[in-house]
Amino acid sequence: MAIEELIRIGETIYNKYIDDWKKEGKRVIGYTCSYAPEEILQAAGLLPIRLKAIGSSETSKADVYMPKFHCTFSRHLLDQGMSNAFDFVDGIVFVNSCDQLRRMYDVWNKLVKFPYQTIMVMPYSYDKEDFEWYLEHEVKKLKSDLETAYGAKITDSSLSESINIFNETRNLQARLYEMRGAKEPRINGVDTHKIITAATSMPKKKYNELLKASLEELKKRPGITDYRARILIGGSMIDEPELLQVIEDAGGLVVADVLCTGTRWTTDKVETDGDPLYAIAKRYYDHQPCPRMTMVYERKRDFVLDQAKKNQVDGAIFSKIAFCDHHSGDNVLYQEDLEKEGIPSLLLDRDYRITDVGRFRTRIEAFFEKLGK
Amino acid sequence: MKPVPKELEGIELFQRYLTTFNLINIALTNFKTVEDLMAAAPEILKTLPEYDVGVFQSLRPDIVIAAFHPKNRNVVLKCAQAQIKFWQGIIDDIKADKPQLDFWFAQGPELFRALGFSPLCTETTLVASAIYQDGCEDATDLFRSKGFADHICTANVAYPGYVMNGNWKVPHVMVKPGTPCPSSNLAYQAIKKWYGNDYIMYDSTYYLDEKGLAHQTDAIRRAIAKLEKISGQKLDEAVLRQQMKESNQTYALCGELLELRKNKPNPDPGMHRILDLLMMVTLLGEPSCTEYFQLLVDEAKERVAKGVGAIPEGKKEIRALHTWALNAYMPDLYHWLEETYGMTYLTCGLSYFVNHQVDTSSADSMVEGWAQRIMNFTMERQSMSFGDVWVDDMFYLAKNWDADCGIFAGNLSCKQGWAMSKLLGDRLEDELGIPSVRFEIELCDKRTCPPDEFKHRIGSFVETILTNSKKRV
Amino acid sequence: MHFSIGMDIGLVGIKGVVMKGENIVAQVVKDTGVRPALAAKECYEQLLSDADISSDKIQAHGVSGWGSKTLSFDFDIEYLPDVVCLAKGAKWACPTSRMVVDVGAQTAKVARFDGNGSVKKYELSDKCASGTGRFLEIMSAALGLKVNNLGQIGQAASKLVEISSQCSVFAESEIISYVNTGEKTEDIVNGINYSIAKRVSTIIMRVGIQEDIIITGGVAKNDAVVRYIEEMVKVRFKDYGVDPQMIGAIGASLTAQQT
Repeated sequence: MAIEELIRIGETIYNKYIDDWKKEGKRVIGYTCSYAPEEILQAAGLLPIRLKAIGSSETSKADVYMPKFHCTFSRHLLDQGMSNAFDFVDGIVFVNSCDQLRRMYDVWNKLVKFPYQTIMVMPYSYDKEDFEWYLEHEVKKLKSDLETAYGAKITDSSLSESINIFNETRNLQARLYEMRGAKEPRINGVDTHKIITAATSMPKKKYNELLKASLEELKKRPGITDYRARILIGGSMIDEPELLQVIEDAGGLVVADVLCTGTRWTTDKVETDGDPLYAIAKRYYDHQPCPRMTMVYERKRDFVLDQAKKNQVDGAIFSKIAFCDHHSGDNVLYQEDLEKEGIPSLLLDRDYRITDVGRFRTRIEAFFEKLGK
Repeated sequence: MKPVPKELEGIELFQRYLTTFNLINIALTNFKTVEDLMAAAPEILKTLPEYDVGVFQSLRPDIVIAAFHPKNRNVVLKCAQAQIKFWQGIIDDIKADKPQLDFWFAQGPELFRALGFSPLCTETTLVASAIYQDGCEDATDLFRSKGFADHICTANVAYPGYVMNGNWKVPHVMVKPGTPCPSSNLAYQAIKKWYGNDYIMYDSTYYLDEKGLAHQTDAIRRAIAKLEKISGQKLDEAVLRQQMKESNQTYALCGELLELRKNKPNPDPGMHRILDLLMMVTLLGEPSCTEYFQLLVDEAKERVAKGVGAIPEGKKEIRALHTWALNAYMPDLYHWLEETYGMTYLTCGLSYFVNHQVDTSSADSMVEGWAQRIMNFTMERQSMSFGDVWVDDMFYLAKNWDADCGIFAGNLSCKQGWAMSKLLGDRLEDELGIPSVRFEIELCDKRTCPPDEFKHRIGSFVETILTNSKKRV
Repeated sequence: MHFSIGMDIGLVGIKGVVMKGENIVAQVVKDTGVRPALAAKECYEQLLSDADISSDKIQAHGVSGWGSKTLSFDFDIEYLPDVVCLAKGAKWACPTSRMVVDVGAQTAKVARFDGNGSVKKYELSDKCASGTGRFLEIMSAALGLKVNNLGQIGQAASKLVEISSQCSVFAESEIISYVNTGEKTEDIVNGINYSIAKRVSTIIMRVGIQEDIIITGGVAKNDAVVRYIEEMVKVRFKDYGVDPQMIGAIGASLTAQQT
């Protein structure tokens, strides 16, 4: 079944699809943030894979360099890098996402060497000139650097082809999200998250085929009705959906999210008319923003409120990876604004991976009680 | 947090600062020693208004004692006298409803004056941290009580706390570069959401080269256009020129002072570094700022001529480079280190001002020069760009100023600084043979590393590595 | 030969020795309890009585440890930096050693020193309980076990339950989760031992690994932790025939003699 296949792929960092790709003599490129313009990487003939620290249980190698109060995602990632877990990639594109990830790159650059590794700089402000600078100095530079590093030629037609494939991915994912957000969803939050994550772990073309088939399979499934509460989740990025599992084990159903590894990654599409490189740059610059973009709080809030209402949620659960500043800044404000709309929220602190399930279960069950569910 | 009396609504903190600097002025002008002051205090207090008495009693004794030390007193007095005028000016401007502009510290106020604003640096909350027994932890806690994390920089979140409580008037506009840092960005975001004031963020360059300068200059030009709309006043070239000519002189003296610290022993007392920062963010562009640095330079030169330093005569010097920055809640620590261990203060990530002279021939050249200064402003330069910049700068300073050790008393919330601390320490050790110590503090919150623990951390380091001898207590 | 006394005031225990030159005459360990000053006094008196000498025979007193500066004594005493004492004691216990790893209740310390016992570099654990004896205390309490038995219990494990929480508060609830999901106690203990060994190894790697290394402090008595650290940093700790938690006190005594 296609669904099971995608769910399985969503739990991996390396899998047979990547293996097949490599066996054809083609290259793989890693990236660390949803601000990395994947379409360009793919247009260079590379397979873009988002680096995840799936299965990483410790950070002791990274901890030699980074203190305990550095975010655990950065440290798990660095630790995995130092432990050769990403040796299947041929290069990496980092982004100056936040202080913790950009400094992780600075340390990585000293300790882990890939033939090609770079950091892309994303401005913090929204003037059109800032966008032009980004297009000119970061996006075009990435394109020419990739061409040099991999002897590839990135053409308008390869970019357009790439855009079409990604847009299809995002269209199909939007349909999956619609099913998840239905009154009687045909799929739960955990499986949805894994299916979405799978898109970052395999070639998109193949993914689209499997997702299309999955959507057909889902249509035949009965809707889920025996849930206590409809929940929106937000906050720091999630790879392994342990938190969603706890919520759903406690009887909740995750019907919406505002995660960069979820809805925010898949929502915005690239324009198909005009210069393709420009269109890609525009999409990444302008897509539904990360909390790092503090000038556009209203836009971030509207998106949260919109997702909450559209999916008729009973409550929201925002978690942040311990020591993440940006999400701490936003989660509190979202809580205020959701409360005004009569939607209670729960704020949680967690590690990148959740292993102390009991603590979360207690708090989430208490939250459901509070919701009267 | 204590409620603000109606008559001090929006200006309580500034009034407190004004009173404090007035008291410091009276104390240092009229008394030779702290003992003289304390002997006369009961009588003087009887003559002072109740408010002033309260402020006097809230002062941290250690900083008052350190201020009276012969090597410190002239400079502290100079700073206090300049600050009196500054805070009086802020209060007057607020009462006159002049457009108030709150800005993040890594920018000079000159440009904002030329745009018709009353510029106020949001990190001047460090004064409260340094001077009052209660510090600014109450304001920090008030902001955090909304649910914000406890690992957000305390130099940035006392400000929203004071605004929330009414000690600090909501500004017309807030201005900051995009990086650093997450703490200030999220604090400003929250204030804008709650109070609806304008908030202008201009992009900071990640690159410190020519192209980076062009981008930075362009970003600032756009910010100027937005600010002109808010103040309703065009950039006044004459005011800017006068301000930049003045700040050129200040920067030249900063450079000279840094050079003077190459002398052995270092002639420049370490407690003044926090005053340097305060003067730069409040009065840069004004003659009083230049006069302040002139006094520092003159005193340092005088000591060099006499062959003495900022440490007791006969004491062996230990030259310390503070590879993160200073602490705000106990600046007298640096005085204590000089007196106790002969440990002098070379510079740090919050007092390393690189002399950059601005071409004042045109408005364009001045804006570009201002941009150049922002890019190289202490801490801004080291933290907005690649980690190597931080490491390279500290390495350069350690090498050329002949440091004996690196002290990374790192702000817990400054993760981007911490991430480089091990690589920096290794480089100092491997290439220069300089040992380092690293431990966690919080810039404006004494609870993370209380004063005694701070002293103990550095003291043990000195006794363990640097002198290999012990001290009789 | 002169007599000297060294005391190491730890968070959990006060360790004291009487030495005659380089030889131990008496040694005492007392619980620090809630009144460290009283415990220190008792420790001192018991040292004198065990050594069967009067206080006027003691030529030097050295005290170190977290609590040392909060205490006052009615005799002249040297307050000594912990790491200095540790290095001195390590050098005494194992003359060829050049590195010491000390895992105490409150802090883990790693120091590199030269042939004279002078410290060249050291690092302490982060300001949190993970990576210290305190972590073991919290975890053993959560499991209802005695902390001293963790080494033995862990070695009976058939598998490793990995504790991946970074914070000791999170970790405590994590192990309770494992109890609830039916993991065997010994396997969880194995995970706890492994976890603390990881933290300590990280600090060792920060200082830079050195051959001729010894391990001291209360946690050094937990064989399982010691073996794990050896595996992780790929060295073997040198044996020395002294109670590992006495090294700081011995160093304090020796350092005080040299004044």
